[in-house]
Amino acid sequence: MRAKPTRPIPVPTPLTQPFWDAARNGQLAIQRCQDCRTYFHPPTSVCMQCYSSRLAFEPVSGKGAIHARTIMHDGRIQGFGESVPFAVIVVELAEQRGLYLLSNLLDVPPEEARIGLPVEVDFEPMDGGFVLPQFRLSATMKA
Amino acid sequence: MATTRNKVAIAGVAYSPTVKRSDRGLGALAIDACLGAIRDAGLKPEDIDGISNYPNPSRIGAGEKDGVDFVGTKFIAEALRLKNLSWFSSVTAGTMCVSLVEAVNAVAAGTCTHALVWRGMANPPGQFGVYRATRAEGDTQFEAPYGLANHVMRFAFAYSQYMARYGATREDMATYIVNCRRNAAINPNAAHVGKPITREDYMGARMIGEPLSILDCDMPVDGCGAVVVTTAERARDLAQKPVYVTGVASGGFKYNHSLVLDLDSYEESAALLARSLWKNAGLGPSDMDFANVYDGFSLFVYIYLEAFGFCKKGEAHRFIQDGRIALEGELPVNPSGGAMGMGRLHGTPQLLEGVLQLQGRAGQRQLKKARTTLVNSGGPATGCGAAVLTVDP
Ligand SMILES: [Zn+2]
Repeated sequence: MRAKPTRPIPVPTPLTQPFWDAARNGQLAIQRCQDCRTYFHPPTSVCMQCYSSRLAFEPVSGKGAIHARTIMHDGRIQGFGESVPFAVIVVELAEQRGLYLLSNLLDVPPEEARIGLPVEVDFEPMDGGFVLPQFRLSATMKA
Repeated sequence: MATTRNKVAIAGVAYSPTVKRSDRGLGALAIDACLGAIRDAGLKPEDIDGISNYPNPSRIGAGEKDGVDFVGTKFIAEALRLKNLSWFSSVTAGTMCVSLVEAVNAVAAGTCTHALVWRGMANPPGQFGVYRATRAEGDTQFEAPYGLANHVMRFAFAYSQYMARYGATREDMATYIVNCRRNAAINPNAAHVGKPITREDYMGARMIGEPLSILDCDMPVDGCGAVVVTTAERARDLAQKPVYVTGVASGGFKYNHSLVLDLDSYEESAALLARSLWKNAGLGPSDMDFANVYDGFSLFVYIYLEAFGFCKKGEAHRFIQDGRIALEGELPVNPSGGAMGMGRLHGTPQLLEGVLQLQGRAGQRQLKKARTTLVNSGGPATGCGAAVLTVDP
Protein backbone atom coordinates (compact mmCIF):
# COMPACT_ATOMS: atom_id res chain seq x y z
CA MET A 1 0.00 0.00 0.00
CA ARG A 2 1.16 3.50 -0.85
CA ALA A 3 0.24 4.93 2.55
CA LYS A 4 -0.61 3.16 5.77
CA PRO A 5 -4.40 3.12 6.10
CA THR A 6 -6.38 3.82 9.24
CA ARG A 7 -8.20 0.54 9.54
CA PRO A 8 -11.63 0.12 11.15
CA ILE A 9 -11.26 -1.57 14.53
CA PRO A 10 -12.72 -5.10 14.75
CA VAL A 11 -15.49 -5.57 17.31
CA PRO A 12 -15.13 -9.21 18.44
CA THR A 13 -18.07 -11.25 19.64
CA PRO A 14 -17.80 -14.23 22.00
CA LEU A 15 -17.74 -16.40 18.88
CA THR A 16 -14.90 -14.51 17.17
CA GLN A 17 -12.78 -13.47 20.18
CA PRO A 18 -10.43 -16.51 19.98
CA PHE A 19 -9.48 -15.57 16.38
CA TRP A 20 -8.29 -12.13 17.51
CA ASP A 21 -6.65 -13.46 20.69
CA ALA A 22 -4.62 -15.92 18.61
CA ALA A 23 -3.58 -13.22 16.14
CA ARG A 24 -2.33 -11.11 19.04
CA ASN A 25 -0.11 -14.07 19.94
CA GLY A 26 1.19 -14.32 16.37
CA GLN A 27 -0.91 -17.32 15.50
CA LEU A 28 -3.57 -17.92 12.85
CA ALA A 29 -6.31 -19.99 14.46
CA ILE A 30 -9.48 -21.13 12.72
CA GLN A 31 -12.60 -22.61 14.25
CA ARG A 32 -12.86 -26.37 13.75
CA CYS A 33 -15.48 -28.99 14.50
CA GLN A 34 -14.08 -31.41 17.08
CA ASP A 35 -16.26 -34.22 15.75
CA CYS A 36 -16.06 -34.12 11.94
CA ARG A 37 -12.90 -31.91 11.78
CA THR A 38 -14.34 -29.37 9.34
CA TYR A 39 -12.94 -25.82 9.56
CA PHE A 40 -15.20 -22.76 9.49
CA HIS A 41 -14.52 -19.11 8.83
CA PRO A 42 -16.26 -16.96 9.86
CA PRO A 43 -16.94 -18.90 13.07
CA THR A 44 -20.31 -20.58 13.39
CA SER A 45 -22.47 -21.50 16.39
CA VAL A 46 -23.06 -25.03 15.12
CA CYS A 47 -21.08 -27.26 12.78
CA MET A 48 -22.61 -26.72 9.35
CA GLN A 49 -21.43 -30.20 8.30
CA CYS A 50 -22.43 -32.58 11.12
CA TYR A 51 -24.36 -30.18 13.41
CA SER A 52 -22.11 -30.83 16.38
CA SER A 53 -21.79 -28.06 18.95
CA ARG A 54 -18.23 -29.10 19.86
CA LEU A 55 -16.33 -26.33 18.08
CA ALA A 56 -12.87 -25.04 19.02
CA PHE A 57 -10.12 -22.90 17.53
CA GLU A 58 -7.02 -24.68 16.26
CA PRO A 59 -3.80 -23.24 14.81
CA VAL A 60 -3.42 -23.65 11.04
CA SER A 61 -0.34 -23.60 8.83
CA GLY A 62 -0.91 -20.08 7.54
CA LYS A 63 -0.18 -21.31 4.03
CA GLY A 64 -2.56 -20.96 1.14
CA ALA A 65 -3.04 -19.58 -2.34
CA ILE A 66 -4.73 -16.56 -3.90
CA HIS A 67 -8.20 -17.73 -4.92
CA ALA A 68 -9.66 -14.40 -6.10
CA ARG A 69 -8.68 -10.76 -5.95
CA THR A 70 -9.77 -7.20 -6.48
CA ILE A 71 -7.70 -4.04 -6.72
CA MET A 72 -9.45 -1.12 -5.12
CA HIS A 73 -9.06 2.18 -6.95
CA ASP A 74 -11.88 4.13 -5.32
CA GLY A 75 -10.59 6.09 -2.32
CA ARG A 76 -13.94 6.82 -0.70
CA ILE A 77 -13.51 4.28 2.06
CA GLN A 78 -12.66 6.10 5.25
CA GLY A 79 -9.09 5.50 6.34
CA PHE A 80 -8.03 4.08 2.95
CA GLY A 81 -8.23 7.24 0.82
CA GLU A 82 -4.45 7.63 0.59
CA SER A 83 -3.81 3.91 0.20
CA VAL A 84 -5.38 3.27 -3.21
CA PRO A 85 -4.76 1.33 -5.32
CA PHE A 86 -4.52 -1.66 -2.99
CA ALA A 87 -5.27 -5.35 -3.38
CA VAL A 88 -7.80 -7.31 -1.37
CA ILE A 89 -7.27 -11.01 -1.89
CA VAL A 90 -9.25 -14.11 -1.05
CA VAL A 91 -6.83 -16.64 0.40
CA GLU A 92 -7.84 -20.29 0.23
CA LEU A 93 -6.08 -21.92 3.15
CA ALA A 94 -4.15 -25.11 2.46
CA GLU A 95 -6.08 -26.97 5.16
CA GLN A 96 -9.41 -27.22 3.36
CA ARG A 97 -10.99 -26.52 0.00
CA GLY A 98 -13.26 -23.46 0.18
CA LEU A 99 -11.76 -22.24 3.48
CA TYR A 100 -11.37 -18.57 2.65
CA LEU A 101 -9.80 -15.65 4.48
CA LEU A 102 -9.58 -12.06 3.29
CA SER A 103 -6.29 -10.20 3.30
CA ASN A 104 -4.29 -7.46 1.69
CA LEU A 105 -1.09 -8.46 -0.07
CA LEU A 106 1.95 -7.13 1.79
CA ASP A 107 5.11 -5.63 0.29
CA VAL A 108 4.35 -5.83 -3.45
CA PRO A 109 2.39 -3.68 -5.91
CA PRO A 110 -1.29 -4.72 -6.09
CA GLU A 111 -0.96 -6.05 -9.68
CA GLU A 112 1.29 -8.79 -8.26
CA ALA A 113 -1.80 -10.34 -6.67
CA ARG A 114 -2.39 -13.06 -9.23
CA ILE A 115 -4.79 -15.95 -8.81
CA GLY A 116 -3.05 -19.21 -7.93
CA LEU A 117 0.08 -17.75 -6.35
CA PRO A 118 1.11 -19.27 -2.99
CA VAL A 119 0.92 -16.99 0.05
CA GLU A 120 1.84 -17.18 3.71
CA VAL A 121 0.47 -15.43 6.76
CA ASP A 122 2.17 -12.63 8.63
CA PHE A 123 0.90 -10.38 11.39
CA GLU A 124 0.46 -6.62 11.31
CA PRO A 125 -0.20 -4.62 14.47
CA MET A 126 -3.03 -2.14 14.13
CA ASP A 127 -4.86 0.41 16.27
CA GLY A 128 -6.82 -0.64 19.34
CA GLY A 129 -4.29 -3.27 20.34
CA PHE A 130 -5.38 -5.59 17.54
CA VAL A 131 -3.09 -7.65 15.35
CA LEU A 132 -4.31 -8.29 11.83
CA PRO A 133 -3.48 -11.54 10.02
CA GLN A 134 -2.08 -10.51 6.63
CA PHE A 135 -0.59 -12.47 3.75
CA ARG A 136 2.44 -12.06 1.53
CA LEU A 137 3.64 -13.97 -1.53
CA SER A 138 5.54 -17.07 -0.43
CA ALA A 139 8.34 -16.24 -2.88
CA THR A 140 9.00 -12.97 -1.07
CA MET A 141 9.18 -14.53 2.41
CA LYS A 142 12.46 -14.05 4.20
CA ALA A 143 14.36 -17.33 4.43
CA MET B 1 -44.00 -29.58 -15.36
CA ALA B 2 -46.00 -27.30 -13.12
CA THR B 3 -49.74 -27.85 -12.81
CA THR B 4 -50.03 -24.06 -12.97
CA ARG B 5 -48.35 -23.94 -16.42
CA ASN B 6 -49.83 -21.04 -18.47
CA LYS B 7 -52.73 -20.73 -16.02
CA VAL B 8 -51.49 -17.37 -14.76
CA ALA B 9 -50.78 -14.32 -16.91
CA ILE B 10 -49.36 -10.83 -16.75
CA ALA B 11 -52.06 -8.36 -17.71
CA GLY B 12 -50.51 -4.92 -17.28
CA VAL B 13 -47.16 -3.18 -16.86
CA ALA B 14 -45.90 0.35 -16.24
CA TYR B 15 -42.76 2.28 -15.40
CA SER B 16 -42.54 5.52 -13.52
CA PRO B 17 -40.21 8.10 -15.02
CA THR B 18 -36.70 6.81 -14.30
CA VAL B 19 -33.91 9.31 -13.82
CA LYS B 20 -30.64 9.54 -11.91
CA ARG B 21 -32.33 11.76 -9.30
CA SER B 22 -35.97 12.79 -9.26
CA ASP B 23 -37.26 15.77 -7.29
CA ARG B 24 -40.56 13.95 -6.82
CA GLY B 25 -39.41 11.28 -4.39
CA LEU B 26 -39.69 7.51 -4.62
CA GLY B 27 -43.19 7.36 -3.08
CA ALA B 28 -44.70 9.41 -5.91
CA LEU B 29 -42.81 7.40 -8.53
CA ALA B 30 -44.03 4.11 -7.09
CA ILE B 31 -47.63 5.35 -7.10
CA ASP B 32 -47.15 6.29 -10.78
CA ALA B 33 -45.88 2.84 -11.69
CA CYS B 34 -48.46 0.90 -9.64
CA LEU B 35 -51.48 2.93 -10.80
CA GLY B 36 -50.04 2.79 -14.32
CA ALA B 37 -49.85 -1.01 -14.33
CA ILE B 38 -53.37 -1.32 -12.91
CA ARG B 39 -54.76 1.05 -15.57
CA ASP B 40 -52.73 -0.65 -18.28
CA ALA B 41 -54.56 -3.88 -17.46
CA GLY B 42 -57.90 -2.08 -17.59
CA LEU B 43 -58.41 -2.48 -13.85
CA LYS B 44 -59.04 -0.17 -10.89
CA PRO B 45 -57.20 -0.14 -7.54
CA GLU B 46 -60.24 -1.71 -5.86
CA ASP B 47 -59.77 -4.78 -8.10
CA ILE B 48 -56.32 -5.46 -6.59
CA ASP B 49 -56.61 -8.18 -3.94
CA GLY B 50 -52.95 -9.22 -3.70
CA ILE B 51 -49.63 -7.37 -3.45
CA SER B 52 -46.07 -8.67 -3.64
CA ASN B 53 -42.80 -6.84 -3.31
CA TYR B 54 -39.07 -6.96 -2.59
CA PRO B 55 -38.62 -3.83 -0.49
CA ASN B 56 -34.95 -3.65 0.53
CA PRO B 57 -33.47 -0.14 0.41
CA SER B 58 -31.19 0.35 -2.57
CA ARG B 59 -28.08 0.74 -0.44
CA ILE B 60 -27.00 0.02 3.10
CA GLY B 61 -27.50 3.00 5.36
CA ALA B 62 -29.94 4.66 2.97
CA GLY B 63 -32.66 5.16 5.58
CA GLU B 64 -35.64 3.04 6.48
CA LYS B 65 -38.77 5.08 5.84
CA ASP B 66 -41.42 3.27 3.78
CA GLY B 67 -42.46 5.49 0.88
CA VAL B 68 -39.23 7.51 1.05
CA ASP B 69 -36.16 5.27 1.18
CA PHE B 70 -37.94 2.18 -0.14
CA VAL B 71 -41.50 1.30 -1.14
CA GLY B 72 -43.00 -1.65 0.72
CA THR B 73 -46.38 -3.29 0.93
CA LYS B 74 -47.59 -1.01 3.77
CA PHE B 75 -47.01 2.17 1.79
CA ILE B 76 -48.67 0.90 -1.40
CA ALA B 77 -51.64 -0.68 0.40
CA GLU B 78 -52.28 2.63 2.16
CA ALA B 79 -51.46 5.01 -0.69
CA LEU B 80 -53.63 3.14 -3.21
CA ARG B 81 -56.31 2.48 -0.54
CA LEU B 82 -56.33 -1.23 -1.36
CA LYS B 83 -59.20 -2.30 0.87
CA ASN B 84 -59.95 -5.57 -0.90
CA LEU B 85 -56.61 -7.24 -0.16
CA SER B 86 -56.69 -10.91 0.72
CA TRP B 87 -52.95 -11.61 0.33
CA PHE B 88 -49.57 -9.94 0.52
CA SER B 89 -45.96 -11.01 0.36
CA SER B 90 -42.72 -9.19 1.10
CA VAL B 91 -39.64 -11.22 0.22
CA THR B 92 -36.25 -10.69 1.84
CA ALA B 93 -34.10 -11.54 -1.18
CA GLY B 94 -34.16 -11.97 -4.92
CA THR B 95 -35.46 -8.67 -6.35
CA MET B 96 -38.41 -8.29 -8.78
CA CYS B 97 -38.49 -11.82 -10.18
CA VAL B 98 -38.77 -13.49 -6.78
CA SER B 99 -41.73 -11.31 -5.82
CA LEU B 100 -43.24 -12.23 -9.22
CA VAL B 101 -42.87 -15.94 -8.38
CA GLU B 102 -44.78 -15.37 -5.12
CA ALA B 103 -47.61 -13.56 -6.92
CA VAL B 104 -47.87 -16.23 -9.63
CA ASN B 105 -48.21 -18.93 -6.98
CA ALA B 106 -50.79 -16.95 -5.00
CA VAL B 107 -52.94 -16.38 -8.10
CA ALA B 108 -52.54 -20.01 -9.19
CA ALA B 109 -53.64 -21.15 -5.73
CA GLY B 110 -56.67 -18.88 -5.79
CA THR B 111 -55.48 -16.85 -2.79
CA CYS B 112 -56.02 -13.71 -4.85
CA THR B 113 -57.13 -12.82 -8.39
CA HIS B 114 -55.36 -9.57 -9.28
CA ALA B 115 -51.88 -9.26 -7.77
CA LEU B 116 -49.78 -6.12 -8.07
CA VAL B 117 -45.98 -6.58 -8.07
CA TRP B 118 -43.50 -3.71 -8.06
CA ARG B 119 -39.90 -2.77 -7.36
CA GLY B 120 -39.04 0.82 -6.49
CA MET B 121 -35.47 2.03 -6.16
CA ALA B 122 -34.32 5.30 -4.63
CA ASN B 123 -31.00 7.00 -5.22
CA PRO B 124 -30.65 8.73 -1.87
CA PRO B 125 -28.52 11.82 -1.24
CA GLY B 126 -24.80 11.13 -1.03
CA GLN B 127 -22.84 8.65 -3.07
CA PHE B 128 -22.74 4.90 -3.40
CA GLY B 129 -19.36 3.57 -2.43
CA VAL B 130 -18.72 5.95 0.44
CA TYR B 131 -17.93 4.04 3.63
CA ARG B 132 -17.41 5.76 6.95
CA ALA B 133 -17.39 3.17 9.74
CA THR B 134 -14.43 3.25 12.13
CA ARG B 135 -15.58 0.09 13.90
CA ALA B 136 -15.99 -3.23 12.12
CA GLU B 137 -18.89 -5.11 13.66
CA GLY B 138 -20.42 -8.49 12.89
CA ASP B 139 -19.06 -10.20 9.79
CA THR B 140 -17.43 -6.95 8.66
CA GLN B 141 -14.71 -7.51 11.31
CA PHE B 142 -13.16 -9.95 8.81
CA GLU B 143 -13.54 -7.58 5.84
CA ALA B 144 -13.45 -3.88 6.70
CA PRO B 145 -10.00 -3.88 8.38
CA TYR B 146 -8.64 -4.90 4.95
CA GLY B 147 -10.45 -2.05 3.23
CA LEU B 148 -13.20 -4.29 1.87
CA ALA B 149 -16.22 -2.14 2.51
CA ASN B 150 -17.63 -1.47 -0.92
CA HIS B 151 -20.08 -3.79 -2.68
CA VAL B 152 -18.28 -3.48 -6.00
CA MET B 153 -15.23 -5.13 -4.44
CA ARG B 154 -17.31 -8.06 -3.20
CA PHE B 155 -18.67 -8.68 -6.68
CA ALA B 156 -15.26 -8.22 -8.29
CA PHE B 157 -13.86 -11.41 -6.74
CA ALA B 158 -15.87 -13.81 -8.89
CA TYR B 159 -15.13 -11.76 -12.01
CA SER B 160 -11.38 -11.98 -11.32
CA GLN B 161 -11.79 -15.75 -11.16
CA TYR B 162 -13.89 -15.87 -14.32
CA MET B 163 -11.21 -13.97 -16.23
CA ALA B 164 -8.40 -16.17 -14.94
CA ARG B 165 -10.28 -19.45 -15.43
CA TYR B 166 -11.80 -18.83 -18.86
CA GLY B 167 -9.51 -16.22 -20.41
CA ALA B 168 -12.13 -13.46 -20.59
CA THR B 169 -11.01 -9.85 -21.02
CA ARG B 170 -12.49 -6.40 -20.52
CA GLU B 171 -12.58 -6.08 -24.32
CA ASP B 172 -15.00 -9.02 -24.36
CA MET B 173 -17.32 -7.30 -21.88
CA ALA B 174 -17.21 -4.04 -23.86
CA THR B 175 -19.48 -5.76 -26.40
CA TYR B 176 -22.17 -6.40 -23.79
CA ILE B 177 -22.09 -2.93 -22.24
CA VAL B 178 -22.05 -1.10 -25.58
CA ASN B 179 -24.96 -3.26 -26.79
CA CYS B 180 -26.98 -2.43 -23.64
CA ARG B 181 -26.40 1.27 -24.13
CA ARG B 182 -27.33 0.97 -27.81
CA ASN B 183 -30.67 -0.65 -26.83
CA ALA B 184 -31.28 1.84 -24.01
CA ALA B 185 -30.59 4.76 -26.32
CA ILE B 186 -33.90 4.01 -28.09
CA ASN B 187 -35.83 3.08 -24.93
CA PRO B 188 -37.79 6.09 -23.62
CA ASN B 189 -38.03 4.45 -20.17
CA ALA B 190 -34.26 4.10 -19.83
CA ALA B 191 -32.13 6.35 -17.63
CA HIS B 192 -29.56 6.32 -20.45
CA VAL B 193 -32.03 7.09 -23.28
CA GLY B 194 -30.28 8.88 -26.14
CA LYS B 195 -26.84 8.17 -24.64
CA PRO B 196 -25.05 5.35 -26.45
CA ILE B 197 -21.37 4.77 -25.64
CA THR B 198 -18.39 3.41 -27.58
CA ARG B 199 -16.02 0.56 -26.79
CA GLU B 200 -13.39 3.21 -26.05
CA ASP B 201 -15.70 4.83 -23.47
CA TYR B 202 -16.00 1.45 -21.74
CA MET B 203 -12.29 0.65 -21.89
CA GLY B 204 -11.45 4.04 -20.42
CA ALA B 205 -14.07 3.94 -17.66
CA ARG B 206 -12.97 4.73 -14.11
CA MET B 207 -11.94 1.60 -12.26
CA ILE B 208 -13.67 0.93 -8.92
CA GLY B 209 -12.78 -2.57 -7.71
CA GLU B 210 -10.71 -4.01 -10.54
CA PRO B 211 -11.78 -5.78 -12.73
CA LEU B 212 -15.10 -3.93 -12.24
CA SER B 213 -15.21 -0.37 -13.59
CA ILE B 214 -17.96 2.16 -13.03
CA LEU B 215 -19.55 0.96 -16.31
CA ASP B 216 -19.73 -2.64 -15.04
CA CYS B 217 -22.14 -1.48 -12.32
CA ASP B 218 -25.71 -0.33 -12.94
CA MET B 219 -26.27 3.38 -12.29
CA PRO B 220 -28.35 4.20 -9.18
CA VAL B 221 -31.63 5.83 -10.15
CA ASP B 222 -34.96 6.94 -8.77
CA GLY B 223 -37.64 4.83 -10.41
CA CYS B 224 -40.17 2.05 -10.16
CA GLY B 225 -41.66 -0.64 -12.38
CA ALA B 226 -44.86 -2.60 -11.74
CA VAL B 227 -46.87 -5.47 -13.20
CA VAL B 228 -50.34 -6.93 -12.61
CA VAL B 229 -50.64 -10.72 -12.40
CA THR B 230 -53.97 -12.52 -12.78
CA THR B 231 -55.46 -15.81 -13.96
CA ALA B 232 -55.10 -16.64 -17.66
CA GLU B 233 -58.86 -16.75 -17.94
CA ARG B 234 -59.32 -13.32 -16.41
CA ALA B 235 -56.45 -11.86 -18.46
CA ARG B 236 -58.26 -12.73 -21.68
CA ASP B 237 -61.05 -10.31 -20.66
CA LEU B 238 -58.67 -7.44 -19.84
CA ALA B 239 -57.17 -4.60 -21.86
CA GLN B 240 -53.85 -6.07 -23.04
CA LYS B 241 -52.79 -9.21 -24.84
CA PRO B 242 -52.17 -11.76 -22.03
CA VAL B 243 -48.59 -12.83 -21.43
CA TYR B 244 -48.76 -16.32 -19.94
CA VAL B 245 -46.41 -17.53 -17.22
CA THR B 246 -45.21 -20.95 -18.36
CA GLY B 247 -42.92 -21.62 -15.42
CA VAL B 248 -41.22 -20.01 -12.45
CA ALA B 249 -38.37 -20.73 -10.04
CA SER B 250 -36.54 -18.99 -7.22
CA GLY B 251 -33.24 -19.74 -5.51
CA GLY B 252 -29.85 -18.22 -5.02
CA PHE B 253 -28.30 -19.72 -1.92
CA LYS B 254 -24.60 -20.06 -1.29
CA TYR B 255 -23.41 -23.28 0.26
CA ASN B 256 -19.76 -22.58 1.07
CA HIS B 257 -20.15 -21.01 4.54
CA SER B 258 -17.88 -18.10 3.74
CA LEU B 259 -18.18 -14.36 3.37
CA VAL B 260 -16.86 -14.67 -0.16
CA LEU B 261 -19.13 -14.70 -3.20
CA ASP B 262 -16.90 -16.83 -5.38
CA LEU B 263 -17.35 -18.06 -8.93
CA ASP B 264 -18.16 -21.62 -7.91
CA SER B 265 -21.00 -20.39 -5.70
CA TYR B 266 -22.42 -18.37 -8.57
CA GLU B 267 -22.21 -21.20 -11.05
CA GLU B 268 -23.67 -23.77 -8.69
CA SER B 269 -26.50 -21.57 -7.54
CA ALA B 270 -27.45 -20.25 -10.99
CA ALA B 271 -27.39 -23.78 -12.40
CA LEU B 272 -29.87 -24.87 -9.74
CA LEU B 273 -32.17 -21.96 -10.61
CA ALA B 274 -31.98 -22.86 -14.30
CA ARG B 275 -32.67 -26.57 -13.72
CA SER B 276 -35.69 -25.69 -11.57
CA LEU B 277 -37.04 -23.24 -14.13
CA TRP B 278 -36.71 -25.46 -17.21
CA LYS B 279 -38.26 -28.37 -15.31
CA ASN B 280 -41.14 -26.20 -14.11
CA ALA B 281 -41.74 -24.67 -17.54
CA GLY B 282 -41.24 -27.85 -19.57
CA LEU B 283 -39.11 -25.82 -21.98
CA GLY B 284 -35.42 -25.15 -22.53
CA PRO B 285 -33.06 -22.48 -23.80
CA SER B 286 -33.64 -23.31 -27.48
CA ASP B 287 -37.32 -22.41 -27.03
CA MET B 288 -36.48 -18.81 -26.07
CA ASP B 289 -36.65 -16.12 -28.76
CA PHE B 290 -34.62 -13.71 -26.61
CA ALA B 291 -33.29 -13.51 -23.05
CA ASN B 292 -33.75 -10.97 -20.28
CA VAL B 293 -31.04 -11.90 -17.78
CA TYR B 294 -30.04 -9.89 -14.74
CA ASP B 295 -27.09 -7.56 -15.10
CA GLY B 296 -26.82 -5.55 -11.88
CA PHE B 297 -23.10 -6.27 -12.23
CA SER B 298 -21.81 -7.12 -15.70
CA LEU B 299 -20.45 -10.56 -14.77
CA PHE B 300 -23.95 -11.81 -13.91
CA VAL B 301 -24.81 -11.88 -17.62
CA TYR B 302 -22.09 -14.45 -18.28
CA ILE B 303 -23.15 -16.52 -15.28
CA TYR B 304 -26.80 -16.60 -16.31
CA LEU B 305 -26.30 -17.11 -20.06
CA GLU B 306 -24.18 -20.13 -19.20
CA ALA B 307 -26.38 -21.47 -16.40
CA PHE B 308 -29.55 -21.26 -18.47
CA GLY B 309 -27.77 -23.16 -21.23
CA PHE B 310 -27.61 -20.57 -24.00
CA CYS B 311 -23.92 -21.43 -24.20
CA LYS B 312 -21.45 -23.69 -22.37
CA LYS B 313 -19.81 -22.86 -19.06
CA GLY B 314 -16.92 -20.44 -19.58
CA GLU B 315 -18.01 -19.47 -23.10
CA ALA B 316 -20.40 -16.55 -22.57
CA HIS B 317 -17.65 -14.00 -23.15
CA ARG B 318 -17.26 -15.43 -26.65
CA PHE B 319 -20.98 -16.14 -27.21
CA ILE B 320 -21.94 -12.47 -26.83
CA GLN B 321 -19.62 -11.36 -29.68
CA ASP B 322 -20.28 -10.79 -33.39
CA GLY B 323 -23.71 -9.24 -33.00
CA ARG B 324 -25.30 -12.40 -31.63
CA ILE B 325 -27.02 -10.62 -28.70
CA ALA B 326 -27.99 -7.43 -30.59
CA LEU B 327 -31.62 -6.60 -31.41
CA GLU B 328 -30.97 -8.08 -34.88
CA GLY B 329 -28.99 -11.06 -33.56
CA GLU B 330 -29.86 -14.72 -33.12
CA LEU B 331 -30.40 -14.34 -29.35
CA PRO B 332 -31.15 -10.73 -28.39
CA VAL B 333 -30.12 -10.21 -24.74
CA ASN B 334 -31.75 -7.48 -22.68
CA PRO B 335 -33.41 -5.56 -25.53
CA SER B 336 -34.52 -2.96 -22.94
CA GLY B 337 -30.89 -2.09 -22.31
CA GLY B 338 -30.93 -4.12 -19.08
CA ALA B 339 -29.83 -2.59 -15.82
CA MET B 340 -26.74 -1.26 -17.58
CA GLY B 341 -28.91 0.85 -19.86
CA MET B 342 -32.05 1.45 -17.79
CA GLY B 343 -30.45 1.93 -14.38
CA ARG B 344 -30.42 0.12 -11.07
CA LEU B 345 -34.01 -1.16 -11.01
CA HIS B 346 -33.57 -4.70 -9.67
CA GLY B 347 -35.22 -6.77 -12.36
CA THR B 348 -37.84 -4.47 -13.85
CA PRO B 349 -35.70 -3.96 -17.01
CA GLN B 350 -35.90 -7.75 -17.41
CA LEU B 351 -39.49 -8.56 -16.43
CA LEU B 352 -41.27 -5.57 -17.98
CA GLU B 353 -39.29 -5.85 -21.21
CA GLY B 354 -40.22 -9.51 -21.56
CA VAL B 355 -43.89 -8.54 -21.34
CA LEU B 356 -43.66 -5.49 -23.62
CA GLN B 357 -41.78 -7.40 -26.34
CA LEU B 358 -44.24 -10.30 -26.25
CA GLN B 359 -47.15 -7.88 -26.55
CA GLY B 360 -45.51 -6.09 -29.49
CA ARG B 361 -45.33 -2.86 -27.48
CA ALA B 362 -41.56 -2.33 -27.39
CA GLY B 363 -41.52 0.59 -29.83
CA GLN B 364 -38.33 1.18 -31.80
CA ARG B 365 -36.59 -1.76 -30.16
CA GLN B 366 -39.38 -4.25 -30.99
CA LEU B 367 -37.92 -7.64 -31.96
CA LYS B 368 -39.07 -9.45 -35.10
CA LYS B 369 -39.66 -12.67 -33.22
CA ALA B 370 -40.90 -12.36 -29.65
CA ARG B 371 -43.24 -15.22 -28.71
CA THR B 372 -41.47 -16.88 -25.75
CA THR B 373 -38.81 -15.53 -23.42
CA LEU B 374 -36.83 -15.91 -20.21
CA VAL B 375 -36.90 -13.21 -17.53
CA ASN B 376 -34.57 -13.39 -14.54
CA SER B 377 -33.24 -11.15 -11.79
CA GLY B 378 -31.30 -11.15 -8.54
CA GLY B 379 -27.77 -12.12 -7.56
CA PRO B 380 -26.79 -15.66 -8.59
CA ALA B 381 -25.83 -16.56 -5.00
CA THR B 382 -27.67 -13.93 -2.96
CA GLY B 383 -31.29 -14.56 -4.03
CA CYS B 384 -32.69 -14.79 -7.54
CA GLY B 385 -35.78 -15.72 -9.49
CA ALA B 386 -36.76 -16.51 -13.05
CA ALA B 387 -39.79 -17.09 -15.23
CA VAL B 388 -40.65 -18.23 -18.73
CA LEU B 389 -43.25 -16.03 -20.42
CA THR B 390 -45.13 -16.79 -23.62
CA VAL B 391 -47.96 -15.60 -25.86
CA ASP B 392 -48.33 -19.16 -27.21
CA PRO B 393 -49.78 -21.11 -24.27
ZN1 LIG C 1 -18.86 -31.29 12.41
